[in-house]
Amino acid sequence: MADLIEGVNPTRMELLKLKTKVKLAKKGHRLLKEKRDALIMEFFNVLEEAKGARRQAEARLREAFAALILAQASLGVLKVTECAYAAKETPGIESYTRSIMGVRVPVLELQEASRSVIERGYGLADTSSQLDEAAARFEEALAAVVQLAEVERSIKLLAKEIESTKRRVNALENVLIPRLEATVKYIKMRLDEMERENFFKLKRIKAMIEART
Amino acid sequence: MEDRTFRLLAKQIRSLNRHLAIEKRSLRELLCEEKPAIRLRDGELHRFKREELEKLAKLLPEHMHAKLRLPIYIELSSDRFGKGTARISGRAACVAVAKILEKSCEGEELFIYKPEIRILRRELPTTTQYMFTTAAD
Repeated sequence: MADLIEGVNPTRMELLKLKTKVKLAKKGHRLLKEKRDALIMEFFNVLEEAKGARRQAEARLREAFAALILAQASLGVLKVTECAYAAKETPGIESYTRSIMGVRVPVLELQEASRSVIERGYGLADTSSQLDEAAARFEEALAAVVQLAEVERSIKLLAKEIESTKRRVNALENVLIPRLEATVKYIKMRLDEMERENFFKLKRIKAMIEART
Repeated sequence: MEDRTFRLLAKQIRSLNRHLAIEKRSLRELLCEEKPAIRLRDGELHRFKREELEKLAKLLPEHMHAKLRLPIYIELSSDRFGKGTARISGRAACVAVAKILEKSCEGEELFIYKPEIRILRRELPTTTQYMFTTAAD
């Protein structure tokens, strides 16, 4: 039998209060369980997305670094570094949030991920097509990395929320509701006992009065 | 101690639907905006992905663009609809969801099940929201 709530008076008033509390706890438990299930469903959706995103980001980065090595081999490391400094600002990232059941997950949108050769900003006269190729590959990789960042952050936030919701559901299911129900049962038993005592007392008094008269 | 627990629990229940919109907005209205967003009950801003809005615009006939109010609510209520069942309300929302799930829809409400909820959320992550209700609501 579950523990009883301490300091509870076995009165009808207390019984009514406890019954309301049981109702509230059961309602909360049901709703939180639904939230937990929905969160888990979302988590698996994002997890599936993450698998693809990670694979894609790794492949893109591998291709980009291979292209960079080729560019460095044809132009020299120094020239490639020089071109990198000459390049215009990296594309901006627009970030905002969306809400999944109150969990604010980030949404990252890369603005104009792929640029033309002229837009990149380095000179065309003394550079090679390998450098253009490497830049294009890195732009593609950047888009994949940004998407991966979005999904991985979402996974962490969702996992945290699932954990806390799960803890609340378990606390309600295994501690609070059994304790409340045990206390309700105890009060009912005590009230019944008190009623029986009173009934017996009244009977005794009646018998005594009848004996006197 | 117990009262504090119940105050927290009541607060928790109240905050369960705080991620819903203060006011829904029509698809037509949102399509005209550069950064389509709505204000939520918790005061935060929720942005819709443009691609999703365009996908919905393609799915629905033009006269329904003004009727579809976003976000679409996926209503979960285990004591009313059963576990793993959700309800979509509103004619335009039902038509859009039915087209995504390749289901038939005639009335003002559509019932969908767990695997379908997953597909729907995957297709429309920002334009759909979960809503939790109980029989008493």
